[in-house]
Amino acid sequence: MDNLEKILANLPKPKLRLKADLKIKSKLYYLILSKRLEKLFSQPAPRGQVYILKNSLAIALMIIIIFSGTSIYAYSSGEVMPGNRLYSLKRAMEKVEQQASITPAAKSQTYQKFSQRRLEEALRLSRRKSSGGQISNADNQQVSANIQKNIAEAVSNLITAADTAAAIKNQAESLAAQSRITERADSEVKYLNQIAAFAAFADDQEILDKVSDAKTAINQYQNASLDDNRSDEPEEKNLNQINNNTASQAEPARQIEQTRENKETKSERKYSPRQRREKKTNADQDNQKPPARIQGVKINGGSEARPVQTAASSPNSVPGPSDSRLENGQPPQTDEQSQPPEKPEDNRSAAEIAPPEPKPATINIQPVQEQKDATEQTKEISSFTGATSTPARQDDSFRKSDSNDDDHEEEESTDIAATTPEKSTATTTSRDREND
Amino acid sequence: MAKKPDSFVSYYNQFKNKIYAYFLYRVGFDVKLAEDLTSEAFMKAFKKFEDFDEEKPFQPWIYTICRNHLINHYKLSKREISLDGIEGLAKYADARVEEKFELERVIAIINQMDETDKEVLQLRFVQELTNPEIACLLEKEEGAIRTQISRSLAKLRELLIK
Repeated sequence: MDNLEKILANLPKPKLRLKADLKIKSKLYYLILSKRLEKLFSQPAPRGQVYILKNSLAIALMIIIIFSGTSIYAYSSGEVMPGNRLYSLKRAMEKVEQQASITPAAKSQTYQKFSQRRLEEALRLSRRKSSGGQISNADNQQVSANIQKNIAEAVSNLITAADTAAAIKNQAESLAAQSRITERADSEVKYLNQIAAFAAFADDQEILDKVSDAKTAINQYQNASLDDNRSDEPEEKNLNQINNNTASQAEPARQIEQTRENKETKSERKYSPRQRREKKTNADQDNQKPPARIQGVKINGGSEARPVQTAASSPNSVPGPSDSRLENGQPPQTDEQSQPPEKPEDNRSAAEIAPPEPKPATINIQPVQEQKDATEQTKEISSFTGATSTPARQDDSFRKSDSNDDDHEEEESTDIAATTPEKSTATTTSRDREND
Repeated sequence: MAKKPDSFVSYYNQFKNKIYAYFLYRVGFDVKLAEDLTSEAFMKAFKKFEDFDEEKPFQPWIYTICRNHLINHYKLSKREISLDGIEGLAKYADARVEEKFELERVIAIINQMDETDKEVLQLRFVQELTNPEIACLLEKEEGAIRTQISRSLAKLRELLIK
Protein backbone atom coordinates (compact mmCIF):
# COMPACT_ATOMS: atom_id res chain seq x y z
CA MET A 1 0.00 0.00 0.00
CA ASP A 2 2.67 2.38 1.06
CA ASN A 3 4.81 1.29 -1.85
CA LEU A 4 2.00 1.93 -4.31
CA GLU A 5 1.29 5.33 -2.87
CA LYS A 6 4.97 6.18 -3.23
CA ILE A 7 4.86 5.11 -6.86
CA LEU A 8 1.71 7.15 -7.44
CA ALA A 9 3.31 10.15 -5.76
CA ASN A 10 6.11 9.91 -8.31
CA LEU A 11 3.72 10.05 -11.21
CA PRO A 12 5.00 12.61 -13.77
CA LYS A 13 3.63 16.12 -13.62
CA PRO A 14 4.18 17.50 -17.15
CA LYS A 15 4.40 21.25 -17.87
CA LEU A 16 2.79 23.23 -20.61
CA ARG A 17 5.11 23.89 -23.55
CA LEU A 18 6.26 27.45 -24.06
CA LYS A 19 4.74 27.71 -27.54
CA ALA A 20 1.33 26.60 -26.24
CA ASP A 21 1.72 28.86 -23.24
CA LEU A 22 2.37 31.94 -25.43
CA LYS A 23 -0.52 31.04 -27.68
CA ILE A 24 -2.92 30.82 -24.74
CA LYS A 25 -1.56 34.05 -23.27
CA SER A 26 -1.97 35.98 -26.54
CA LYS A 27 -5.54 34.73 -26.76
CA LEU A 28 -6.15 35.82 -23.20
CA TYR A 29 -4.73 39.30 -23.78
CA TYR A 30 -6.81 39.69 -26.91
CA LEU A 31 -9.92 38.77 -24.90
CA ILE A 32 -8.95 41.20 -22.14
CA LEU A 33 -8.44 44.04 -24.63
CA SER A 34 -11.67 43.42 -26.47
CA LYS A 35 -13.53 43.23 -23.17
CA ARG A 36 -12.05 46.54 -22.06
CA LEU A 37 -12.97 48.23 -25.35
CA GLU A 38 -16.43 46.76 -25.10
CA LYS A 39 -16.77 48.20 -21.64
CA LEU A 40 -15.41 51.52 -22.80
CA PHE A 41 -17.94 51.99 -25.57
CA SER A 42 -20.91 50.23 -24.02
CA GLN A 43 -20.99 51.63 -20.53
CA PRO A 44 -22.27 55.16 -20.03
CA ALA A 45 -19.43 57.48 -19.07
CA PRO A 46 -19.37 61.04 -17.75
CA ARG A 47 -20.28 63.68 -20.34
CA GLY A 48 -16.80 65.14 -20.82
CA GLN A 49 -15.19 61.72 -20.94
CA VAL A 50 -17.70 60.49 -23.54
CA TYR A 51 -17.05 63.58 -25.67
CA ILE A 52 -13.31 63.05 -25.53
CA LEU A 53 -13.48 59.31 -26.17
CA LYS A 54 -16.06 59.31 -28.91
CA ASN A 55 -14.51 62.23 -30.72
CA SER A 56 -10.90 61.39 -29.98
CA LEU A 57 -10.25 60.52 -33.61
CA ALA A 58 -11.86 63.71 -34.83
CA ILE A 59 -9.93 65.73 -32.27
CA ALA A 60 -6.66 64.10 -33.28
CA LEU A 61 -7.40 64.80 -36.94
CA MET A 62 -8.27 68.38 -36.16
CA ILE A 63 -5.05 68.86 -34.22
CA ILE A 64 -3.03 67.36 -37.07
CA ILE A 65 -4.76 69.53 -39.67
CA ILE A 66 -4.39 72.70 -37.63
CA PHE A 67 -0.74 72.02 -36.86
CA SER A 68 0.15 71.11 -40.44
CA GLY A 69 -1.78 74.09 -41.82
CA THR A 70 -0.09 76.46 -39.43
CA SER A 71 3.28 74.97 -40.27
CA ILE A 72 2.69 75.33 -43.99
CA TYR A 73 1.53 78.90 -43.55
CA ALA A 74 4.50 79.74 -41.36
CA TYR A 75 6.91 78.15 -43.78
CA SER A 76 5.59 79.59 -47.00
CA SER A 77 4.30 82.98 -45.94
CA GLY A 78 6.59 85.95 -46.28
CA GLU A 79 4.61 87.74 -43.60
CA VAL A 80 6.04 85.46 -40.92
CA MET A 81 9.10 87.46 -39.92
CA PRO A 82 11.32 87.78 -36.87
CA GLY A 83 9.12 88.91 -34.02
CA ASN A 84 6.17 86.89 -35.25
CA ARG A 85 4.90 84.08 -33.01
CA LEU A 86 5.05 81.60 -35.86
CA TYR A 87 8.63 82.51 -36.77
CA SER A 88 10.08 79.83 -34.50
CA LEU A 89 7.86 77.29 -36.25
CA LYS A 90 9.12 78.55 -39.60
CA ARG A 91 12.71 78.15 -38.49
CA ALA A 92 11.96 74.68 -37.19
CA MET A 93 10.49 73.72 -40.55
CA GLU A 94 13.56 75.13 -42.27
CA LYS A 95 15.76 73.06 -40.00
CA VAL A 96 13.83 69.98 -40.97
CA GLU A 97 14.26 70.85 -44.64
CA GLN A 98 17.95 71.42 -44.08
CA GLN A 99 18.28 68.04 -42.42
CA ALA A 100 16.25 66.42 -45.18
CA SER A 101 18.59 67.64 -47.93
CA ILE A 102 21.24 64.96 -47.99
CA THR A 103 23.37 65.54 -51.07
CA PRO A 104 25.81 68.51 -51.13
CA ALA A 105 24.02 69.98 -54.17
CA ALA A 106 20.70 69.94 -52.37
CA LYS A 107 22.31 71.36 -49.26
CA SER A 108 23.87 74.19 -51.24
CA GLN A 109 20.54 75.00 -52.85
CA THR A 110 18.79 74.98 -49.48
CA TYR A 111 21.34 77.35 -48.01
CA GLN A 112 20.94 79.68 -50.99
CA LYS A 113 17.18 79.66 -50.53
CA PHE A 114 17.47 80.43 -46.84
CA SER A 115 19.97 83.18 -47.53
CA GLN A 116 17.59 84.92 -49.90
CA ARG A 117 14.70 84.37 -47.51
CA ARG A 118 16.57 86.08 -44.68
CA LEU A 119 17.24 89.07 -46.89
CA GLU A 120 13.62 89.23 -48.00
CA GLU A 121 12.57 89.25 -44.39
CA ALA A 122 15.11 91.96 -43.62
CA LEU A 123 13.78 94.03 -46.52
CA ARG A 124 10.20 93.62 -45.38
CA LEU A 125 11.17 94.61 -41.87
CA SER A 126 13.00 97.66 -43.22
CA ARG A 127 9.93 98.68 -45.18
CA ARG A 128 7.72 98.33 -42.15
CA LYS A 129 10.16 100.18 -40.02
CA SER A 130 10.41 103.05 -42.45
CA SER A 131 6.64 103.21 -42.89
CA GLY A 132 6.16 102.96 -39.13
CA GLY A 133 3.19 100.66 -39.59
CA GLN A 134 2.44 97.99 -37.03
CA ILE A 135 5.64 98.70 -35.16
CA SER A 136 5.78 100.96 -32.18
CA ASN A 137 8.81 103.05 -31.36
CA ALA A 138 9.70 100.71 -28.52
CA ASP A 139 10.05 97.83 -30.95
CA ASN A 140 12.24 99.74 -33.39
CA GLN A 141 15.46 98.66 -31.73
CA GLN A 142 14.35 95.06 -31.71
CA VAL A 143 13.42 95.31 -35.39
CA SER A 144 16.75 96.81 -36.38
CA ALA A 145 18.51 94.10 -34.37
CA ASN A 146 16.47 91.52 -36.24
CA ILE A 147 17.38 93.09 -39.58
CA GLN A 148 21.06 93.00 -38.70
CA LYS A 149 20.76 89.42 -37.56
CA ASN A 150 19.02 88.46 -40.76
CA ILE A 151 21.66 90.13 -42.92
CA ALA A 152 24.44 88.36 -41.07
CA GLU A 153 22.62 85.08 -41.36
CA ALA A 154 22.00 85.59 -45.07
CA VAL A 155 25.68 86.16 -45.73
CA SER A 156 26.72 83.18 -43.64
CA ASN A 157 24.15 81.03 -45.45
CA LEU A 158 25.45 82.16 -48.82
CA ILE A 159 29.03 81.41 -47.85
CA THR A 160 28.02 78.02 -46.51
CA ALA A 161 26.19 77.35 -49.76
CA ALA A 162 29.35 78.28 -51.67
CA ASP A 163 31.45 75.99 -49.51
CA THR A 164 29.00 73.15 -49.98
CA ALA A 165 28.93 73.76 -53.73
CA ALA A 166 32.71 73.62 -53.82
CA ALA A 167 32.58 70.30 -51.99
CA ILE A 168 30.45 68.68 -54.69
CA LYS A 169 32.46 65.88 -56.25
CA ASN A 170 30.90 66.09 -59.70
CA GLN A 171 32.72 69.00 -61.31
CA ALA A 172 29.93 69.95 -63.70
CA GLU A 173 27.40 70.03 -60.89
CA SER A 174 29.79 71.98 -58.71
CA LEU A 175 30.34 74.61 -61.42
CA ALA A 176 26.61 74.88 -62.05
CA ALA A 177 25.96 75.33 -58.34
CA GLN A 178 28.69 77.96 -58.09
CA SER A 179 27.28 79.88 -61.04
CA ARG A 180 23.86 79.79 -59.40
CA ILE A 181 25.40 81.14 -56.22
CA THR A 182 27.05 83.95 -58.15
CA GLU A 183 23.69 84.90 -59.63
CA ARG A 184 22.15 84.70 -56.20
CA ALA A 185 24.89 86.91 -54.83
CA ASP A 186 24.07 89.55 -57.44
CA SER A 187 20.41 89.51 -56.51
CA GLU A 188 21.33 89.65 -52.84
CA VAL A 189 23.44 92.72 -53.45
CA LYS A 190 20.33 94.34 -54.93
CA TYR A 191 18.38 93.42 -51.82
CA LEU A 192 21.14 94.84 -49.67
CA ASN A 193 21.05 98.07 -51.66
CA GLN A 194 17.33 98.38 -51.04
CA ILE A 195 17.81 97.68 -47.35
CA ALA A 196 20.58 100.26 -47.27
CA ALA A 197 18.25 102.78 -48.90
CA PHE A 198 15.63 102.18 -46.24
CA ALA A 199 18.26 102.35 -43.52
CA ALA A 200 19.56 105.62 -44.93
CA PHE A 201 16.01 106.95 -44.97
CA ALA A 202 15.56 105.90 -41.35
CA ASP A 203 19.09 107.12 -40.54
CA ASP A 204 20.06 103.76 -39.03
CA GLN A 205 23.84 103.69 -39.11
CA GLU A 206 24.10 100.22 -37.62
CA ILE A 207 22.16 98.64 -40.46
CA LEU A 208 24.15 100.61 -43.00
CA ASP A 209 27.37 99.29 -41.49
CA LYS A 210 25.99 95.79 -41.51
CA VAL A 211 24.93 96.12 -45.13
CA SER A 212 28.35 97.39 -46.14
CA ASP A 213 29.98 94.50 -44.28
CA ALA A 214 27.70 92.06 -46.05
CA LYS A 215 28.46 93.62 -49.41
CA THR A 216 32.18 93.40 -48.85
CA ALA A 217 31.82 89.77 -47.85
CA ILE A 218 29.81 89.00 -50.98
CA ASN A 219 32.25 90.95 -53.15
CA GLN A 220 35.15 89.05 -51.64
CA TYR A 221 33.42 85.80 -52.45
CA GLN A 222 32.66 86.94 -56.00
CA ASN A 223 36.23 88.09 -56.56
CA ALA A 224 37.56 84.82 -55.21
CA SER A 225 35.25 82.84 -57.48
CA LEU A 226 36.23 85.01 -60.46
CA ASP A 227 39.90 84.39 -59.75
CA ASP A 228 39.22 80.69 -59.58
CA ASN A 229 37.37 80.79 -62.87
CA ARG A 230 40.17 82.69 -64.52
CA SER A 231 42.71 80.20 -63.36
CA ASP A 232 40.52 77.35 -64.44
CA GLU A 233 39.52 78.53 -67.89
CA PRO A 234 41.87 77.56 -70.72
CA GLU A 235 41.71 80.88 -72.52
CA GLU A 236 45.41 81.38 -72.96
CA LYS A 237 45.17 79.98 -76.44
CA ASN A 238 42.55 82.46 -77.49
CA LEU A 239 44.45 85.31 -75.92
CA ASN A 240 47.59 84.38 -77.83
CA GLN A 241 45.62 84.25 -81.04
CA ILE A 242 44.16 87.68 -80.43
CA ASN A 243 47.61 89.09 -79.66
CA ASN A 244 48.98 87.62 -82.87
CA ASN A 245 46.13 89.13 -84.83
CA THR A 246 46.69 92.56 -83.37
CA ALA A 247 50.43 92.30 -84.01
CA SER A 248 49.91 91.25 -87.62
CA GLN A 249 47.44 94.06 -88.08
CA ALA A 250 49.68 96.56 -86.36
CA GLU A 251 52.61 95.85 -88.69
CA PRO A 252 51.01 96.94 -91.97
CA ALA A 253 49.25 99.78 -90.20
CA ARG A 254 52.63 101.05 -89.08
CA GLN A 255 53.91 100.84 -92.64
CA ILE A 256 50.88 102.78 -93.83
CA GLU A 257 51.52 105.45 -91.26
CA GLN A 258 55.14 105.71 -92.39
CA THR A 259 54.23 105.99 -96.07
CA ARG A 260 51.63 108.64 -95.26
CA GLU A 261 54.14 110.65 -93.28
CA ASN A 262 56.69 110.34 -96.09
CA LYS A 263 54.17 111.57 -98.60
CA GLU A 264 53.23 114.48 -96.41
CA THR A 265 56.85 115.46 -95.93
CA LYS A 266 57.40 115.23 -99.66
CA SER A 267 54.42 117.40 -100.44
CA GLU A 268 55.30 119.86 -97.70
CA ARG A 269 58.74 120.38 -99.17
CA LYS A 270 57.10 121.75 -102.29
CA TYR A 271 54.75 124.06 -100.38
CA SER A 272 55.61 127.59 -99.31
CA PRO A 273 55.62 128.24 -95.56
CA ARG A 274 52.22 129.93 -95.76
CA GLN A 275 50.73 127.16 -97.81
CA ARG A 276 52.26 124.73 -95.42
CA ARG A 277 50.59 126.53 -92.53
CA GLU A 278 47.26 126.47 -94.31
CA LYS A 279 47.71 122.81 -95.12
CA LYS A 280 48.53 122.17 -91.51
CA THR A 281 45.39 123.87 -90.30
CA ASN A 282 43.39 121.83 -92.80
CA ALA A 283 45.07 118.70 -91.57
CA ASP A 284 44.30 119.69 -88.00
CA GLN A 285 40.71 120.20 -88.92
CA ASP A 286 40.72 116.83 -90.62
CA ASN A 287 42.13 115.25 -87.49
CA GLN A 288 39.45 116.84 -85.41
CA LYS A 289 36.79 115.50 -87.75
CA PRO A 290 35.68 111.84 -87.64
CA PRO A 291 38.02 109.23 -89.08
CA ALA A 292 38.35 109.01 -92.81
CA ARG A 293 36.78 105.62 -93.17
CA ILE A 294 33.72 106.60 -91.17
CA GLN A 295 33.51 109.91 -93.00
CA GLY A 296 33.70 108.16 -96.29
CA VAL A 297 30.79 106.02 -95.27
CA LYS A 298 28.85 109.02 -94.21
CA ILE A 299 29.60 111.39 -97.01
CA ASN A 300 29.57 109.14 -99.99
CA GLY A 301 26.90 106.86 -98.64
CA GLY A 302 26.51 103.70 -100.62
CA SER A 303 29.40 104.21 -103.04
CA GLU A 304 32.04 104.34 -100.32
CA ALA A 305 30.33 102.09 -97.86
CA ARG A 306 30.07 99.26 -100.27
CA PRO A 307 33.68 98.08 -100.31
CA VAL A 308 33.89 98.42 -96.56
CA GLN A 309 30.84 96.31 -96.01
CA THR A 310 31.85 93.72 -98.53
CA ALA A 311 35.21 93.43 -96.86
CA ALA A 312 33.56 93.19 -93.49
CA SER A 313 31.09 90.59 -94.62
CA SER A 314 33.90 88.18 -95.40
CA PRO A 315 33.80 85.31 -92.93
CA ASN A 316 37.49 85.50 -92.05
CA SER A 317 37.34 89.08 -91.01
CA VAL A 318 37.99 89.69 -87.33
CA PRO A 319 36.03 92.68 -86.18
CA GLY A 320 37.72 94.58 -83.39
CA PRO A 321 38.87 97.91 -82.26
CA SER A 322 42.55 97.26 -82.98
CA ASP A 323 42.51 97.94 -86.73
CA SER A 324 40.45 101.13 -86.55
CA ARG A 325 42.64 102.38 -83.75
CA LEU A 326 45.77 101.74 -85.73
CA GLU A 327 44.46 103.20 -88.95
CA ASN A 328 43.27 106.42 -87.45
CA GLY A 329 45.98 106.76 -84.88
CA GLN A 330 43.30 107.26 -82.24
CA PRO A 331 41.74 105.04 -79.57
CA PRO A 332 38.34 103.48 -80.34
CA GLN A 333 36.70 105.58 -77.71
CA THR A 334 37.60 108.78 -79.53
CA ASP A 335 36.20 107.30 -82.71
CA GLU A 336 32.92 106.78 -81.01
CA GLN A 337 33.02 110.19 -79.42
CA SER A 338 33.84 111.89 -82.69
CA GLN A 339 31.02 110.19 -84.51
CA PRO A 340 28.37 112.66 -85.60
CA PRO A 341 25.03 112.17 -83.91
CA GLU A 342 23.04 111.99 -87.18
CA LYS A 343 23.74 108.37 -88.03
CA PRO A 344 25.49 106.82 -85.09
CA GLU A 345 24.33 103.32 -85.81
CA ASP A 346 25.55 103.24 -89.38
CA ASN A 347 28.92 104.67 -88.48
CA ARG A 348 29.35 102.35 -85.57
CA SER A 349 28.39 99.33 -87.54
CA ALA A 350 30.73 100.26 -90.30
CA ALA A 351 33.52 100.87 -87.85
CA GLU A 352 32.84 97.69 -85.97
CA ILE A 353 32.62 95.48 -89.00
CA ALA A 354 35.76 96.93 -90.54
CA PRO A 355 37.90 94.36 -92.36
CA PRO A 356 41.04 93.13 -90.70
CA GLU A 357 43.21 93.47 -93.78
CA PRO A 358 44.92 96.81 -93.58
CA LYS A 359 45.76 97.20 -97.30
CA PRO A 360 42.29 97.53 -98.75
CA ALA A 361 41.47 99.77 -95.82
CA THR A 362 44.20 102.21 -96.80
CA ILE A 363 42.97 102.16 -100.35
CA ASN A 364 39.61 103.14 -99.03
CA ILE A 365 40.91 105.70 -96.64
CA GLN A 366 43.24 107.66 -98.81
CA PRO A 367 40.88 108.30 -101.66
CA VAL A 368 38.25 109.41 -99.22
CA GLN A 369 40.60 111.88 -97.64
CA GLU A 370 41.86 113.03 -100.96
CA GLN A 371 38.43 113.22 -102.38
CA LYS A 372 37.31 115.23 -99.41
CA ASP A 373 40.15 117.62 -99.94
CA ALA A 374 39.27 117.82 -103.58
CA THR A 375 35.61 118.50 -102.94
CA GLU A 376 36.52 121.19 -100.44
CA GLN A 377 38.90 122.71 -102.90
CA THR A 378 36.32 122.63 -105.67
CA LYS A 379 33.86 124.28 -103.33
CA GLU A 380 36.39 126.94 -102.45
CA ILE A 381 37.27 127.46 -106.08
CA SER A 382 33.65 127.77 -107.06
CA SER A 383 33.16 130.29 -104.27
CA PHE A 384 36.26 132.07 -105.45
CA THR A 385 35.14 132.20 -109.07
CA GLY A 386 31.53 133.01 -108.29
CA ALA A 387 31.89 135.42 -105.38
CA THR A 388 33.49 138.82 -106.01
CA SER A 389 33.70 139.86 -102.39
CA THR A 390 36.57 137.44 -101.60
CA PRO A 391 39.95 139.19 -101.16
CA ALA A 392 42.47 138.93 -103.98
CA ARG A 393 45.25 137.89 -101.68
CA GLN A 394 43.35 134.92 -100.59
CA ASP A 395 42.59 134.17 -104.22
CA ASP A 396 46.27 134.18 -105.03
CA SER A 397 47.02 131.88 -102.27
CA PHE A 398 44.24 129.60 -103.42
CA ARG A 399 45.58 129.65 -106.90
CA LYS A 400 49.06 128.85 -105.73
CA SER A 401 47.87 126.23 -103.40
CA ASP A 402 45.67 124.77 -106.09
CA SER A 403 48.50 124.66 -108.52
CA ASN A 404 50.68 123.12 -105.91
CA ASP A 405 47.94 120.74 -105.02
CA ASP A 406 47.59 119.88 -108.63
CA ASP A 407 51.25 119.09 -108.78
CA HIS A 408 50.90 117.06 -105.69
CA GLU A 409 47.87 115.34 -107.09
CA GLU A 410 49.62 114.59 -110.31
CA GLU A 411 52.06 112.55 -108.37
CA GLU A 412 49.34 110.50 -106.84
CA SER A 413 46.94 110.63 -109.74
CA THR A 414 47.71 107.11 -110.85
CA ASP A 415 46.76 105.70 -107.44
CA ILE A 416 43.68 107.80 -107.08
CA ALA A 417 42.46 107.29 -110.62
CA ALA A 418 42.81 103.58 -110.14
CA THR A 419 40.73 103.61 -106.98
CA THR A 420 38.14 106.40 -107.42
CA PRO A 421 37.05 107.60 -110.83
CA GLU A 422 34.88 110.25 -109.18
CA LYS A 423 37.95 111.80 -107.62
CA SER A 424 39.77 111.99 -110.96
CA THR A 425 36.77 113.62 -112.56
CA ALA A 426 36.65 116.13 -109.71
CA THR A 427 40.29 117.03 -110.18
CA THR A 428 39.89 117.38 -113.92
CA THR A 429 36.92 119.70 -113.50
CA SER A 430 38.86 121.86 -111.06
CA ARG A 431 41.82 121.97 -113.44
CA ASP A 432 39.58 122.94 -116.34
CA ARG A 433 38.01 125.68 -114.29
CA GLU A 434 41.42 126.95 -113.32
CA ASN A 435 42.54 126.94 -116.92
CA ASP A 436 39.42 128.86 -117.87
CA MET B 1 -16.51 44.98 -6.67
CA ALA B 2 -15.18 44.83 -10.19
CA LYS B 3 -12.33 42.37 -10.71
CA LYS B 4 -9.18 43.30 -12.49
CA PRO B 5 -8.66 41.24 -15.67
CA ASP B 6 -4.92 41.08 -14.95
CA SER B 7 -5.66 38.94 -11.92
CA PHE B 8 -6.94 36.20 -14.20
CA VAL B 9 -3.58 36.18 -15.97
CA SER B 10 -1.90 35.65 -12.61
CA TYR B 11 -4.27 32.77 -11.89
CA TYR B 12 -3.47 31.33 -15.28
CA ASN B 13 0.25 31.46 -14.57
CA GLN B 14 -0.35 29.71 -11.27
CA PHE B 15 -2.54 26.85 -12.56
CA LYS B 16 -1.61 26.36 -16.21
CA ASN B 17 0.68 23.36 -15.65
CA LYS B 18 -1.73 21.60 -13.28
CA ILE B 19 -4.63 21.98 -15.68
CA TYR B 20 -2.50 20.83 -18.56
CA ALA B 21 -1.48 17.72 -16.63
CA TYR B 22 -5.07 17.09 -15.69
CA PHE B 23 -6.15 17.12 -19.33
CA LEU B 24 -3.08 15.17 -20.42
CA TYR B 25 -3.86 12.28 -18.07
CA ARG B 26 -7.51 12.32 -19.08
CA VAL B 27 -7.06 12.34 -22.85
CA GLY B 28 -4.63 9.48 -23.07
CA PHE B 29 -1.51 11.68 -22.97
CA ASP B 30 -2.25 13.38 -26.27
CA VAL B 31 -0.13 16.49 -25.88
CA LYS B 32 -1.74 18.46 -28.72
CA LEU B 33 -5.25 17.72 -27.52
CA ALA B 34 -4.31 18.49 -23.94
CA GLU B 35 -2.92 21.88 -25.00
CA ASP B 36 -6.05 22.68 -26.98
CA LEU B 37 -8.28 21.64 -24.09
CA THR B 38 -6.22 23.71 -21.66
CA SER B 39 -6.54 26.76 -23.90
CA GLU B 40 -10.27 26.29 -24.37
CA ALA B 41 -10.80 25.75 -20.67
CA PHE B 42 -8.98 28.94 -19.73
CA MET B 43 -10.87 30.96 -22.33
CA LYS B 44 -14.10 29.67 -20.92
CA ALA B 45 -12.91 30.46 -17.41
CA PHE B 46 -12.01 34.02 -18.42
CA LYS B 47 -15.46 34.59 -19.87
CA LYS B 48 -16.99 33.32 -16.60
CA PHE B 49 -14.49 35.18 -14.45
CA GLU B 50 -16.99 37.96 -13.88
CA ASP B 51 -19.10 35.47 -11.93
CA PHE B 52 -16.22 34.19 -9.86
CA ASP B 53 -16.40 35.04 -6.20
CA GLU B 54 -12.91 36.15 -5.16
CA GLU B 55 -13.57 35.25 -1.56
CA LYS B 56 -13.67 31.58 -2.55
CA PRO B 57 -10.61 29.62 -3.69
CA PHE B 58 -9.82 29.70 -7.40
CA GLN B 59 -8.57 26.12 -7.69
CA PRO B 60 -11.89 24.26 -7.28
CA TRP B 61 -13.54 26.81 -9.54
CA ILE B 62 -11.08 26.28 -12.40
CA TYR B 63 -11.05 22.51 -11.90
CA THR B 64 -14.84 22.44 -12.14
CA ILE B 65 -14.68 24.33 -15.43
CA CYS B 66 -11.99 22.01 -16.76
CA ARG B 67 -13.90 18.90 -15.71
CA ASN B 68 -17.11 20.11 -17.36
CA HIS B 69 -15.17 21.03 -20.48
CA LEU B 70 -13.63 17.56 -20.55
CA ILE B 71 -17.03 15.90 -20.14
CA ASN B 72 -18.32 18.01 -23.04
CA HIS B 73 -15.29 16.99 -25.05
CA TYR B 74 -15.96 13.30 -24.35
CA LYS B 75 -19.56 13.69 -25.29
CA LEU B 76 -18.79 15.48 -28.53
CA SER B 77 -15.82 13.42 -29.71
CA LYS B 78 -16.84 10.01 -28.34
CA ARG B 79 -13.41 8.77 -29.20
CA GLU B 80 -11.45 6.16 -27.42
CA ILE B 81 -8.48 7.06 -25.40
CA SER B 82 -5.19 5.92 -26.88
CA LEU B 83 -2.16 5.29 -24.72
CA ASP B 84 0.45 6.25 -27.29
CA GLY B 85 1.72 9.17 -25.25
CA ILE B 86 2.46 7.17 -22.10
CA GLU B 87 5.97 6.23 -23.24
CA GLY B 88 6.91 9.83 -23.63
CA LEU B 89 5.22 10.83 -20.41
CA ALA B 90 7.61 8.89 -18.16
CA LYS B 91 10.48 11.22 -19.05
CA TYR B 92 8.86 13.95 -16.97
CA ALA B 93 9.19 11.85 -13.81
CA ASP B 94 12.24 12.25 -11.60
CA ALA B 95 13.01 8.57 -11.30
CA ARG B 96 15.48 5.89 -12.27
CA VAL B 97 15.08 3.71 -15.38
CA GLU B 98 13.44 0.79 -13.48
CA GLU B 99 11.11 3.14 -11.71
CA LYS B 100 10.22 4.82 -15.00
CA PHE B 101 9.31 1.45 -16.43
CA GLU B 102 7.10 0.72 -13.44
CA LEU B 103 5.50 4.20 -13.70
CA GLU B 104 4.61 3.63 -17.32
CA ARG B 105 2.96 0.39 -16.36
CA VAL B 106 0.99 2.02 -13.51
CA ILE B 107 -0.15 4.85 -15.83
CA ALA B 108 -1.31 2.38 -18.43
CA ILE B 109 -3.30 0.43 -15.85
CA ILE B 110 -4.88 3.60 -14.43
CA ASN B 111 -5.96 4.60 -17.93
CA GLN B 112 -7.72 1.25 -18.24
CA MET B 113 -9.67 1.79 -14.97
CA ASP B 114 -13.10 3.41 -14.64
CA GLU B 115 -13.41 7.16 -15.06
CA THR B 116 -14.39 7.58 -11.41
CA ASP B 117 -11.34 5.68 -10.10
CA LYS B 118 -9.08 7.30 -12.64
CA GLU B 119 -10.29 10.77 -11.73
CA VAL B 120 -10.03 10.29 -7.99
CA LEU B 121 -6.54 8.78 -8.20
CA GLN B 122 -5.35 11.49 -10.56
CA LEU B 123 -6.75 14.30 -8.45
CA ARG B 124 -5.24 12.83 -5.39
CA PHE B 125 -1.81 11.78 -6.61
CA VAL B 126 -1.10 13.82 -9.76
CA GLN B 127 -2.89 17.06 -8.96
CA GLU B 128 -2.06 16.55 -5.28
CA LEU B 129 -5.41 17.82 -4.13
CA THR B 130 -6.54 17.18 -0.58
CA ASN B 131 -9.63 15.13 0.21
CA PRO B 132 -11.74 18.19 1.06
CA GLU B 133 -10.67 19.83 -2.26
CA ILE B 134 -11.56 16.71 -4.20
CA ALA B 135 -14.84 16.50 -2.30
CA CYS B 136 -15.53 20.10 -3.19
CA LEU B 137 -14.63 19.56 -6.82
CA LEU B 138 -16.65 16.39 -7.23
CA GLU B 139 -19.41 17.79 -5.02
CA LYS B 140 -19.25 14.82 -2.65
CA GLU B 141 -18.66 14.30 0.98
CA GLU B 142 -15.11 14.12 2.23
CA GLY B 143 -15.69 10.64 3.71
CA ALA B 144 -17.08 9.39 0.42
CA ILE B 145 -13.97 10.67 -1.36
CA ARG B 146 -11.71 8.95 1.17
CA THR B 147 -13.59 5.65 0.66
CA GLN B 148 -13.51 6.13 -3.11
CA ILE B 149 -9.74 6.65 -3.08
CA SER B 150 -9.12 3.53 -0.97
CA ARG B 151 -11.29 1.43 -3.29
CA SER B 152 -9.54 2.75 -6.37
CA LEU B 153 -6.14 1.96 -4.89
CA ALA B 154 -7.24 -1.59 -4.13
CA LYS B 155 -8.39 -2.03 -7.72
CA LEU B 156 -5.10 -0.72 -9.03
CA ARG B 157 -3.13 -3.07 -6.81
CA GLU B 158 -5.08 -6.03 -8.07
CA LEU B 159 -4.46 -5.01 -11.64
CA LEU B 160 -0.75 -4.55 -10.96
CA ILE B 161 -0.46 -8.04 -9.39
CA LYS B 162 -2.17 -9.54 -12.42
